[in-house]
Amino acid sequence: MTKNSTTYESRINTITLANGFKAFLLPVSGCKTISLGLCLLDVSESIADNSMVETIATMTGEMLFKGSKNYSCSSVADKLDEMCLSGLKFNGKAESLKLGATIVASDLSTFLAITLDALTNPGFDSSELAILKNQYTGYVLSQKSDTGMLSGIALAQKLYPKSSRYYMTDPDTDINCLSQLEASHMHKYLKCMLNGQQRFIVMVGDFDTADVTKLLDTTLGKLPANEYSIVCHSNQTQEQDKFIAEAGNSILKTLVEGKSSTDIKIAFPLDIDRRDEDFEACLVATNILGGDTLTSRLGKEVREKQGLTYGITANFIDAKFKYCPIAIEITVNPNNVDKALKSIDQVMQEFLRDGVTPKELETEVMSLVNGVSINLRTNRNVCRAIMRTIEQGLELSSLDLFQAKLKKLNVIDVNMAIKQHFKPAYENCKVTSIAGSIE
Amino acid sequence: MTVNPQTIEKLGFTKDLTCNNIDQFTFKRNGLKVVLSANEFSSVVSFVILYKVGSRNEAVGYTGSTHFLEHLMFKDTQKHKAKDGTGFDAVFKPLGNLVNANTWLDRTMYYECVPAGNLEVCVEFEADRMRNLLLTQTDHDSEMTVVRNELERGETEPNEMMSNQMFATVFREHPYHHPTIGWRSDVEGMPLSRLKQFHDEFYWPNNATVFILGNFDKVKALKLIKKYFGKIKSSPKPIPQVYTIEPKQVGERRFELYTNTQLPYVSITFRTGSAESSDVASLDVVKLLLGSSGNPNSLLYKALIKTGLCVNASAGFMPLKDYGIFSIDAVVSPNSNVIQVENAILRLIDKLKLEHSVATNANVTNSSIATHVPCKFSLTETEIAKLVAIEKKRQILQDLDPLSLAEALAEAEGNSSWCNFYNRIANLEKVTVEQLVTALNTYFVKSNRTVGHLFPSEKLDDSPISVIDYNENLDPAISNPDRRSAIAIEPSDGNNKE
Repeated sequence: MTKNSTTYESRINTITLANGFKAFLLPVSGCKTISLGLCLLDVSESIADNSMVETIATMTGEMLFKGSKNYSCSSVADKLDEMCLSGLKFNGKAESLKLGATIVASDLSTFLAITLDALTNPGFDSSELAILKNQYTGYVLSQKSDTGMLSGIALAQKLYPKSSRYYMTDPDTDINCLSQLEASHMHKYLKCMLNGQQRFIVMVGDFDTADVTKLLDTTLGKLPANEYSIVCHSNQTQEQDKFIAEAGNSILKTLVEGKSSTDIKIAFPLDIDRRDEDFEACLVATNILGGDTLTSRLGKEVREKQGLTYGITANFIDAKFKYCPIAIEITVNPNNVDKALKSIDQVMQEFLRDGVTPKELETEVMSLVNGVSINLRTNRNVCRAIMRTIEQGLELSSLDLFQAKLKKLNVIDVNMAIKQHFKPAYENCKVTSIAGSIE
Repeated sequence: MTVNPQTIEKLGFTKDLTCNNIDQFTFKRNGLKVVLSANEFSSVVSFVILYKVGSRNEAVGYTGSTHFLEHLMFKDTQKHKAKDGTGFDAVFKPLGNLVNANTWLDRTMYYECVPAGNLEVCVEFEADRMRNLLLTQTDHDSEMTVVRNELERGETEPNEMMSNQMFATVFREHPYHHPTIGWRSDVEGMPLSRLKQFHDEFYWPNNATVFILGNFDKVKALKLIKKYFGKIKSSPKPIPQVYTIEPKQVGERRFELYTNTQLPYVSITFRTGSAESSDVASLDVVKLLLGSSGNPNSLLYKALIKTGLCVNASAGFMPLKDYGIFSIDAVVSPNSNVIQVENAILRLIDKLKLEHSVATNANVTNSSIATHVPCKFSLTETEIAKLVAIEKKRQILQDLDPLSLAEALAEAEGNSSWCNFYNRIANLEKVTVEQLVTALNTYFVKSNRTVGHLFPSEKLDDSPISVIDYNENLDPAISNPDRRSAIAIEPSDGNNKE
């Protein structure tokens, strides 16, 4: 029942179930598969204040498909395996619990049934939890030798308060949290998420909207009732404002012996989020600076001209919250750390002083516009894009308007955004984190 | 849409075969193979060119040259120069910039995914760099340190260290011995002239296969191939062939490594036949059967994760052009050690052999092992059918993306034929328990295995080695995974007699 229209906004059917749960349905006939994304969002203070919340959230996500009150771990694993979803898990974060999958269309009812069962009748079996704790302890321990991870942790701890979405705990803290974790923690977290302010599912693929609506009524429609409202992510802004204002410029060094390659991360958080009117200008500026390791300013100078690194990028990621980290990430031989830092700073100073050129802007906008078409070549990616849009509190129309917004940008807009957002952040709040076999 | 036979002939192609509605043509003048699959509903077109050259075509002194050359293929050609604004960057960045390349043991592939309607850009660019690469000293010098940093990133990384050492130990004479990225001193010392020679030997149409998938017109695509690749002659000399044969392994091989890691690693590898071997499907079933640590029903999970011995484990089967390898890799739990893990893996393999041997009344080598493995699995043909049904679904899911499908087809072409991507399911369906037993008994034997242990650096102890008699139930050394216990212990309690 695909509508005869080309815009995403008009093709997506938005349905609200009796319990307030929303479904965003985009039928694509004939593709034989369905991509799904389930999202439960909650930013209540009770969760955010808990220092163990990231561990609780992660482990809850891991445990939900490890058996329920109705089905054993083995039985659930069998069902997942038959859908080619072996090892599927929820992605648990402090403020959200999500699930993403692509299935063969005929498996939809089974998938929804076991998902509902996992959420409403969780087993959190103590023996399965013990096995998972052992596995996760190993995973966390491995971070102690991972220069990329360690440079990121040091950076996040310097730049963000503990309550921030971007704060990262160190491995020892995580292991301690794991040891204290009990099923009751996960039940409490799950209850918050099931009663979250913003609960929705996105489905893209081969289905009939009317049939799927009926199916959703009998599955996710059984979750507790709660009014749907768009989550506001800015409740920690005041604390972050203060913290970041006091962070200043700094260089952090983490010694990791016996490593041939050193990880450097340089971050300066921008004072905007995804809904800010300057977002597109800042995104284009970031891409020109370090969007990829071959063609960006940093890539051309540090990799292509000087040969100092295999990879250098600058990323503007997950701008759901204000003060999203913009991070320049690079790996270098330990002997080239100083050269690389100097070279990056030279590129940055020129970038902040002169901004971007009309040619760079034209090329980058074309790249991003065509990149959207390329990225949305699969239902899976379309599903993710719709999820991200809703989660970020944007209208569905933004999926269609993003490319047009990019095309409207001019050099003055972008260079103004660089002066207004990048320059003060880089000059006043730049944190450089280096991890490796360094002096 | 099918292409009219007269059109095919008129354009100078032959149509070789059709598999799963995908057509293969060959351009008669230079031997370039072209594989086409059009889908008018796709928003993109993907172009992949596969060269049948990889690190198997290298030798000491120029290891890593295939990979190094792959980097240099993004530099200037006579027509496309960065400083003129016509380089790779200027051509593909405005088109979305989904462009890359990768090198492996048997092949090198370059790919582009662009909005539909832009196929000509890809064809022109790839044809140009096939023969018109400038390969300058300046580019070589700046790129060498880039490649070296890529090498350095993995040099102390546990998985990469284990993989490199495993290949170097399993293969002693065949060039699979060398890591694809090359040995460090070769990367640093390889002259430009050697890379030029390498390019001149292997980068020819008769050593390449083009894959075009997505939204395009087949006739127009063939015309574009003729227009751009048609100008290039086939190689003036025959493409050099690898003639080195790895002798039969005649005894277990072992290695140990140390690096900055928190947990030890164990790898057990068996050399198998090539991608064209008749045992490929049986070994594929063994891999599916063992599963991974993500699936609580898998044998690996039950034997290694549920028991608390490991934090992660996986089984991998890699059929290659000349040989193959079957590996089981595990990361050891903080409360366990490499010997316990190694023995658990070996017992699991023996359990598999035993149960299937019983099922087929074959000779049973050692019945005592069955009691040591905390899981039971006897594969019937019904269960094989279940595994196959899951793989069929997996193929439907993989077919969705024209880029990942093109890469998967190219990968299969690199070691045998792209058709084998589709033949795999049919071959899996034909596997019998008897064939499974044959494969298990042929490859999973002590004399054909290579065992590797990787330890945290602080465990490195250069004191004299003392021999310890191993008994899993009594020896306290097993809880202390240091160098001495790893080296001196006989890992198997005799359950692998041949």
